[in-house]
Amino acid sequence: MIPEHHVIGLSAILFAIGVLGVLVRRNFIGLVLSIALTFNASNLAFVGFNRFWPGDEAKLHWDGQVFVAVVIAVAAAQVVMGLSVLFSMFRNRNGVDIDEAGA
Amino acid sequence: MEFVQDHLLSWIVFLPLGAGLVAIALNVLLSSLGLAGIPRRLCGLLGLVASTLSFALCVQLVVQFDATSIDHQFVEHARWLPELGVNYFVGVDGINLLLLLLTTFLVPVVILATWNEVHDGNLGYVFAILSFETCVLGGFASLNLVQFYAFWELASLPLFFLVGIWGAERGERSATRFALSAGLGSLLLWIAILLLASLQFEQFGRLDFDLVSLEPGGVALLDTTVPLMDPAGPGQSAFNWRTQVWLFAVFALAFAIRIPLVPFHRGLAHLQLAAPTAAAALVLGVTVKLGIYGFIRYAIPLAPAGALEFTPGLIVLALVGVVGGALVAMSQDDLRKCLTLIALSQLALMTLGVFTFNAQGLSGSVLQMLGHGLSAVALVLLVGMLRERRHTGLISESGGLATRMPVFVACFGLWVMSMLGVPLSSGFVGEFLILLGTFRVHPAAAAAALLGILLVFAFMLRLIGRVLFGNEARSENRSLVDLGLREKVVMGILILPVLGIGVYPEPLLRRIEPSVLNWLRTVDERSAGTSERRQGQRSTEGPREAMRLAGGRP
Amino acid sequence: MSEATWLRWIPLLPLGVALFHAAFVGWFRRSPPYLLVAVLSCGAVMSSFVLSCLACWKLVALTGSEPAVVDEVYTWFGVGVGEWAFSTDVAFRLDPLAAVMCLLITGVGSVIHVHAAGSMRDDFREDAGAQRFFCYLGALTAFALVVVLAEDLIFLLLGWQGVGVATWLLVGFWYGEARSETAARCAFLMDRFGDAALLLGGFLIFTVMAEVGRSGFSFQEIEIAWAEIASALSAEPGSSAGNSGTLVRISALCLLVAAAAKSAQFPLHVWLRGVVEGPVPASALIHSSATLAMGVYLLCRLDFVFVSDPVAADAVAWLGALTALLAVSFATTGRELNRVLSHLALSQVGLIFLAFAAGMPAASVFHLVTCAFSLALLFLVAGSTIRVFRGEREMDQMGGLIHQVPVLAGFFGVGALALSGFPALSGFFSRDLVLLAVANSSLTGRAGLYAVALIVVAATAFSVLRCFLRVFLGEPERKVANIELPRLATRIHSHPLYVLAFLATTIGFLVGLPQFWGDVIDVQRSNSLANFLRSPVVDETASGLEHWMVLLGLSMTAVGYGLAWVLYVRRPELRTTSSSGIRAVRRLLAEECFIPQLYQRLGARPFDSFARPFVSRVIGPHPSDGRWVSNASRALRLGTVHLLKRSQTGPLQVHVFVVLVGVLAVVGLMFLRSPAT
Repeated sequence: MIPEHHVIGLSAILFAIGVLGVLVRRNFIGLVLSIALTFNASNLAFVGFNRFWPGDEAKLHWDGQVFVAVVIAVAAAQVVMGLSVLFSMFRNRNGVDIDEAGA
Repeated sequence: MEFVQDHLLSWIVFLPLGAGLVAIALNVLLSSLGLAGIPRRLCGLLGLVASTLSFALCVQLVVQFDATSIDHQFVEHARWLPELGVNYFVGVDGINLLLLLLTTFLVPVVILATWNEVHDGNLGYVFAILSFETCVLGGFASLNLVQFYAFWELASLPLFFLVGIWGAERGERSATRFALSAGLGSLLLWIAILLLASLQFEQFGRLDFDLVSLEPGGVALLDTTVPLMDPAGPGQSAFNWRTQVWLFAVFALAFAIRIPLVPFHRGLAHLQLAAPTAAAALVLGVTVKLGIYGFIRYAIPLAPAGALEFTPGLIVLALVGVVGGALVAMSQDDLRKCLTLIALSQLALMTLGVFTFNAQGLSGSVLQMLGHGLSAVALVLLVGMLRERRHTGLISESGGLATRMPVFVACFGLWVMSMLGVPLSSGFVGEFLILLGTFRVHPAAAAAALLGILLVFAFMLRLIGRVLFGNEARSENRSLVDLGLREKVVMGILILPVLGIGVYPEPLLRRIEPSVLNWLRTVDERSAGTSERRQGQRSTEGPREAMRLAGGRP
Repeated sequence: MSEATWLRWIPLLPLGVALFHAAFVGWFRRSPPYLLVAVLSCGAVMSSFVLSCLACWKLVALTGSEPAVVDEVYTWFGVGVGEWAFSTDVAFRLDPLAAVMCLLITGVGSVIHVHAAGSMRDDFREDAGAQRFFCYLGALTAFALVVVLAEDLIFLLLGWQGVGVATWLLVGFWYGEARSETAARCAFLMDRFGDAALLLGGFLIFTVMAEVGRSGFSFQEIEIAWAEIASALSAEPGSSAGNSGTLVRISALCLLVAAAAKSAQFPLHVWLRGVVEGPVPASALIHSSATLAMGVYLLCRLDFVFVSDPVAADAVAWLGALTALLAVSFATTGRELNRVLSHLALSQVGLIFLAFAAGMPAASVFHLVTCAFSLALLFLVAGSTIRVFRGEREMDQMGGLIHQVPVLAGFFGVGALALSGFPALSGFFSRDLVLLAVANSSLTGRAGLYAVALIVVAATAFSVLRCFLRVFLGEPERKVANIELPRLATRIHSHPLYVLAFLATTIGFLVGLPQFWGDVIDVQRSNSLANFLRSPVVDETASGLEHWMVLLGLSMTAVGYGLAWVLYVRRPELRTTSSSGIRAVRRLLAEECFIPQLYQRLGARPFDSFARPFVSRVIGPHPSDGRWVSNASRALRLGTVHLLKRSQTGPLQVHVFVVLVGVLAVVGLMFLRSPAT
């Protein structure tokens, strides 16, 4: 079996990578990708927690899985919004550099 | 009409909003079918009909109200968010009965008076007023603290739109300023709620924001914050004196900003400058009462020791408000702002009545809330009529109206007199009771209040002289038309209750009194042991003695 | 005591008609025909008079120590339970004192109404002026009746404030003129000050009564409570009842202030001089029986309060004497006819206060009644005189009217003689009663008060004759070839004057004869008015009268007449004396001791100038935003904005980084605080 701390550790590493990406990337698409990475990291954590601590024998629960579904929906909505922002940014400035956009 | 009868209170509260939503749906339907929307005249009529229906239901409520019972009547309870302790809990007792009646009475009158603006504003205007009415009614009727907060907050929303869209040109700026100051008050109230929640959780392990619990053994706010000296309380009482003081301080600040008492009056004054007549009238007549009502219903019963502690300070604040309101009003040029400030000084007087902790003062406050609502609204409507004609509300622009608009002048004088407590009007009864109550506990405060009222009076006489009489300063004033039939009807409708209350206030007082006495008894019980708990820092005289003399124990 | 449910119509009839007029004016544009308006108003007041007579008749038939006709209508309002319960009723009570006042108000009121109907017909400028005027006049009558008939202090307060409102409305009736508006405001403000004092007095009474264990505001209850306190105080002086003693005294002083404000005693007399800016019938009613008389009534109604406290009685006495002296001295140098009459009225009220304080409420009421008739007559005649002279009010410009309009001269002469106490006219009897009261009283400084009263008598005679000589005799100062003759032939106009003249001459006999000259005309000497009033303070007058007092009073009157005759007829050159001292005194008196200017300086101007700069600098919002507070708030706002602005640096990453740091901090804290780790 996979030990718990592997899963959680992986999730943490992925989350850290995603956050670092948000902080560091200049390209807007890269930014959105990094945010999506953090989403997936948290999804992994949810699934992991649900798998390893599913509740007692008499009453199993699948809360983690349900949460994953919600997060995926939210991520999808966020990506849609991000893309529309991207398009208008591109149209107006002809570039997707966020440092230039914010200057 | 069993269905209506069973849920009378909810019908009263939600009928205006419901009618507004139905109208909007109809409008959308019609426009999607390619037809023009609901004609403008019909919108106003719809608003009028909806609010009048609400008023009729409220009258039925008043008639069916049992004046001898001290419990809440027409109670409705439904679970909303049980884990958070937030429920839909509404009920009526002597204290909010009149406020409900006042609100439902005023809204149709205001709609009728500002009919011309309804013309222009189409459905949005009417819908804003109706939803505002629902929120305020909900605030008055609710018995769950978070529900009260929710309605209180929601009431700002239609107000913001009313002022921003249908108000003066720079209306958004004033609306924003008002929203900021009101927001500060709401923030403080929210902090108080959180504080209360933590206390309750610590004590009982669960949350319930209902004021009283319907089932025996239930947990409610008034059960939670146990009296200081309860020997049977669970463990050590979490609700000691210091906590009560803090809790009350936060509550008091929140409600003082909402009323607003004089140091915090600027937001409201700014709002009144920019608001359309209907909004200004309703704010001054109804919303400001929410603050005083909050004191009576929530702040004082939940933290009575704190209330007693702060009573001297609040009395001083109220006195400052009475005089300060008049002083600030003196230097104004805008008529509506002037009237607002005068109305605020009257509100300070009502606050004074609340903090006398005796039957006369509190009954006087409640009755005065009713009378003051009528007078303030009437005056704002009158000024609105003047503004419609002259397109300016400045005092320096109006003068010598008496020759052209005698009916206007007569009405204006009458309302000013009634607001200042001339006999035969409702103002006299309320003011007399408040002053009597004040005199019983602090004779000096009563004398100061009398002098303050005299000052207000002197100023109002000058105002009348400047605006109504005198030579016709402006040539524009010479061609003004007097009040038309619709406006006269509005004035007539407003005069009748004022005279009626002044001449025969007994039925109302009979309905108010049992709840007031019950309230006094509750406060007295829950603050028992205040002096001991203060670790002998202060003597037992003062407000505590006032409560003892309060006649709260018949 | 007997019930009579029709008692309530005495005040309600005029009030109802006034409300009808008000509603009519407020709703419709045009007013009904003048005749209808006049008939309605006059009819209402006259019906009240008839009802008052009926009630009096009924009262007289009652026996017992405290006869009264009572009408309890309903409970007005009441709150509270237990020892501090409070409730007040709308209830009317006619006892002898109220009966006299009621007859006075309705009687004089009817007369004035009828006269007004006749004389003011052409004076109304705009459409609804007549209806407005009769509405106000009727309201004044109605509220005055409420005051005298109220059984309850709070109900009396309702009427009291109503009288104030009606006075304001009447004085400011000609609203276009600044003078009348200012006068009306002044009157109303001082009246409200008195109302506040009355309210405080009422609260004090409530407190005192609660200490004795009584509640309720009806006068009978108050009287009983006072008796209990007095007995408690005399039983053990200096005990816990001492506290009540102080409260009793303060409440008496509050009541005095209230009565003084309403009856224009010094120093609250300034508003009375402005009353003459209003219509003539209004000032007649106000001066004679409506407003000025209310203060007197309050004192008489609550006389037990003053009887039990000699300090308060002294205060009333000296106040009345001072006012009387001051007012009559203003009258001696007054230049406008109306103003002189106003001052004379005030001095008589001062004497009335003095008589009351001397322990004879009966004397004060009697003097009030006689003065009411003569003053009403004089004011109405003065109004006609002024109209004859086309609105000229200064006596310097008048003269020689007796040749043109002898009827007016006759009326004025009768009124003047009655007021100044010519023998056998009503004023003679009442003045003697007043002097008698002062002489027999137990006030401090009794001799001084008596001397003051004598001087007032002489000065009254002087002023009154001076007016007559100035206005009616002598050479006309102006070319009066084109004066308009009033339509004295019209019945409406002059019949009331006949009635008043008749009353002014004869009313004295009703009371005075049995009192003074019983032994002469073989009627039993009895203090009939006092007996009728059943006043609790027994007046031992029948024994105290000395004939020398009567002669002294008479001689003072003669001195006054003589002085006037000399100065204005025989040796007019004496008036233009070169003595600067006398001239200074005359100037001082002519300007009324500069008291009105003092009020202006101390009261009105600071009111105007204080608020604006102070308030606009400190607190006021918009338009000239209160500089200090506004600056402070702006500084606060900008400061925080500056601080916060720096955090909005722009790049998104910085924000995210801050969020990350915050999250890590929170998580770290949670770990640290959690007991598990």
